[in-house]
Amino acid sequence: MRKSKSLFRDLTKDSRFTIAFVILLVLVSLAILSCFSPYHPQRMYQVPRGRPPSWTHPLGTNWLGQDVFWQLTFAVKNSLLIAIVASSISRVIAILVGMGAGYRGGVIDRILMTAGDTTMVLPILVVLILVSTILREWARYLTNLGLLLAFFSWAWDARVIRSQILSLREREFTFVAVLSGMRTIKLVLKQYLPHVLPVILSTLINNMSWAIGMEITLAYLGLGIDPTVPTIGTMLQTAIYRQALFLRLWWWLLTPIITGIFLFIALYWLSVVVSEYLDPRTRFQRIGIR
Amino acid sequence: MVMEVMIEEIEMEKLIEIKDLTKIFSIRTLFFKTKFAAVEKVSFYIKPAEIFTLAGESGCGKTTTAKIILGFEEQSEGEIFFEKKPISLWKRKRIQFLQKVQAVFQNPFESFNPLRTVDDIFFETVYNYRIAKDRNRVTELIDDRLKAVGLSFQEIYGRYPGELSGGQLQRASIARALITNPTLLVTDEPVSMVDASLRMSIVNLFAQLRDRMKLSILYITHDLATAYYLSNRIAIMFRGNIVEMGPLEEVLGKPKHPYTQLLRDSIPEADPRKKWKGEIAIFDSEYEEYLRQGCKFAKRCPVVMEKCKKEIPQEFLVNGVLVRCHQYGE
Amino acid sequence: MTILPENFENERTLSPMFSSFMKEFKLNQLFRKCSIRKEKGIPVGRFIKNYLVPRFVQYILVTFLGLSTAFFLPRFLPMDPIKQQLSQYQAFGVYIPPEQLEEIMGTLKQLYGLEGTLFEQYINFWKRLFKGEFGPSLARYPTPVIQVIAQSLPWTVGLLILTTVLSWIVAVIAGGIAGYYRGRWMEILDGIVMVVRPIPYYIMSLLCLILFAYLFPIFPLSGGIGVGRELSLSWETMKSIVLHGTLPALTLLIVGIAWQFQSMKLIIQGVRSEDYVWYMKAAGVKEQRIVFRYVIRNAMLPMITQLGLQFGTIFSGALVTEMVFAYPGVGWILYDAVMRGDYNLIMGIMCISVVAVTTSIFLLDLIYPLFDPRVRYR
Repeated sequence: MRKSKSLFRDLTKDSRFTIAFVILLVLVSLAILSCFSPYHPQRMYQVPRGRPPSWTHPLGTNWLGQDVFWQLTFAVKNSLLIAIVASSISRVIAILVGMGAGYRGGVIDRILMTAGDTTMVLPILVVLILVSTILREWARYLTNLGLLLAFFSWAWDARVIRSQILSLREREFTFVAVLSGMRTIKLVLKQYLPHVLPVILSTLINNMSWAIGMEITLAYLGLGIDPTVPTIGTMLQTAIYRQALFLRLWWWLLTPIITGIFLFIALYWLSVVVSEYLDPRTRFQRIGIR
Repeated sequence: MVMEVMIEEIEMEKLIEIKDLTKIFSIRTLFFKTKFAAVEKVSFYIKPAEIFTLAGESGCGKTTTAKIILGFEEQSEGEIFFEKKPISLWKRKRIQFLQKVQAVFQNPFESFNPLRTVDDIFFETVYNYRIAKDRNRVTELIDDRLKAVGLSFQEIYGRYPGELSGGQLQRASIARALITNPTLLVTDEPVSMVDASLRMSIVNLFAQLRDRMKLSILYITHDLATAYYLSNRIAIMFRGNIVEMGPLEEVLGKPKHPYTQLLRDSIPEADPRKKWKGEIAIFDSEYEEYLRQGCKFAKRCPVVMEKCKKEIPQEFLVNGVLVRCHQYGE
Repeated sequence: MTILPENFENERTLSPMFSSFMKEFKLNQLFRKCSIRKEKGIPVGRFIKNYLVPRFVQYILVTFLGLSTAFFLPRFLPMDPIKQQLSQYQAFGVYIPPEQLEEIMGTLKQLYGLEGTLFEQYINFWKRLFKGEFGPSLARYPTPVIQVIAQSLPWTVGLLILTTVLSWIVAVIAGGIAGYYRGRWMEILDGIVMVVRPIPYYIMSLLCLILFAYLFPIFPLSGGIGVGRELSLSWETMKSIVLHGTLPALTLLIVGIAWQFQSMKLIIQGVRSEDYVWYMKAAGVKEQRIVFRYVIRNAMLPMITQLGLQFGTIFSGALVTEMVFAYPGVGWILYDAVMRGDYNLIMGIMCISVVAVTTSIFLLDLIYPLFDPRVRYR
């Protein structure tokens, strides 16, 4: 407990972290707030449409008769959900693949890495489009979209983990661990995981950001999830499709854009701070400041 | 007759025997292979309760030999017999093998996982070898071993490697190796990264282990001073070959191979009257020395002959010492 | 290379597989000629074997895998495109008598390439691939897919090459300077990049669209050329092309520069702390020279590798940007295909994209040795 407190204090020294953290806190509270929404997220014409921001409707209403603010809460919740599902699954795959390939080596290594390279090289957008077109029914669900996104993002991380394992494998404490009678799986999990976790954390955050970006793009194409389910992507898409710009309902259009930008910036800054914190080179700089 | 009896006696006593061990590394790309022998036709044995030193300069193959013995590398040719049984048999019973053969490495800071506490690996060892189960028993056992090296459980418990000094860590390493009550301890330059005062106490510890606990130690080093203090028998390695091997007094006292002579002469003596004299040979790259056809020492040898550049010398027995040099051929 | 003593024997041996291959095709004589050049300069023969061939094999392998995935993916998914198509027809209340249904299914099968067993389909797929035949575009029947793609590809390629090269150069120089020197300007730049970088292509292009085409209508809203114009080399057309292409290019440039600037800065910071930089400073080499000739040059190498790895992303990003601006490149065609359910076109674009990305990576691998001499002499 003490360690995590001092860790937090350390991180807050970087102003970027505090800002990012605050933004995320706001967004998460928005997501939680969605549970208390007085309006159903998918029904339309619940409120007078096309009203600018006012006290009763803090962010105005859109042309479909929905309150923009409450829509936003659902959107944030759903987008974050997709992001978390996608990135956690892909981290798990990356850990399994990276550790397996790194420690075992040989044929398994080659096969796994080639498979991973292929997923990296394929232009993601096109494949996603293809799959979404064919699997229209299946891809409507949030979690399935998360799975799909996870499929494309494990490869790079697996490589990173693998190279770390390869170098850890040659270190003396590995030999000592073998001499202590440790079996392979136990060794990899107990001894190597603490080394690997920090990197995973930083890429997790990046991955979440990417997942949201992909979701937005897919929503624009009308693929992916059911357009009536609010996410940042679908909000944006609906706004454009319904000509928010020409109707001069700028609050409808700008809300998802600005929220999205804040989300991306917050996630990015967080990941930068985490990776800088873990990078041994910048550690010295921090010690100097302290 | 006497010789035969002696040989028989020696045969019966060998704890571990290595015959014609060869390890060839190939640097392989998709289409080419460059090979060189890191260890070439190395043969020696170690008796129980004996300290056997493998000495030589950096990169001569000592660590590779150690790794092969421990099972971390595969040999290309040659056999190893531990307790009279071939090592292939022991491979299936790895846990039993490792219970009897343990190791201590050179760098104390690297021997421990920086992200785990030091005592973690102690507990691992005890549990994995099923030495004790009850937590109190285990702690007692660990404390006992630590006391033997001059530490205590309190000092170690809950500490990360970064919080202890090199000397403490190295001693902890040795304690960990002793938990399983091994019969052979492979030590790869155990004192080279430790300061001088601690060095002597660790060396003394090794001597005690040999005398009291009948432990055999394969002591790998490049420092002849500690080797002189500690060993019963010694082998000198050069570029993968053992060039001279025998009882300590004979090898270091009356060196026969030109390389051993060079080594002995290069130990500085704190005597102002004795000055360093003689020529200093500029050495070629290690790599290409490894690939030579004849005797690997040919280029540096002061008494080199034509024969030396073409043929690898055999091992000749001279006064109870094995020497690999053409001088003693006839 | 050290000077070898006379009795040094070259212990290089060819692996058995390759040596028999060489003998088969009498290539050993050719190779001996190549290895004579070893003494003069770059050992060409060895270079080709050690570096080029493995990369080429990898290129072919990954392309093969990617295209096979394109083939198998739709077939392993639980949906049957034919049934979908038919149900779409029937959803309009069209009644189709059973015999005609059979015929339609047969035609559709042919169109989709779904005749015969899986294996036969696979062979057919590859046959048609080599001929460049993807069948007719379903939305623009009967224009063949390959023609549609061929018309739009130059727009995309032009946009991509221009922006990628430009952004890379700018990022390398700017990142190099920013990573090396400290100062007010650098921190401001850094701050800007920190805000810009995480924004995905889509949002950035939307922003550019809103800002520069709507709020301040400087640039045209969409298209590649003004409506109704013919492609020619006249000044008017050129101007129109540039005008229309500025916004998409701007988007790609901004995002590209932001990404690469960040990576470059990180790499430079790493290189900067290397020992040889200290050494040069101590030796009195002028700082500017150090930065440009040594630090940046060394940092370029991982940058190039990174560029290769990011090709997939950059390509996808370009597609999205085109979609937003209705720029007549592959992206817009893709969007159109998706909207109209043009299955063949989507498949065709997918295959072309896979080949495009892997080829670019391979070309990059070919250029890399020009920058990294270590690879040449291996």
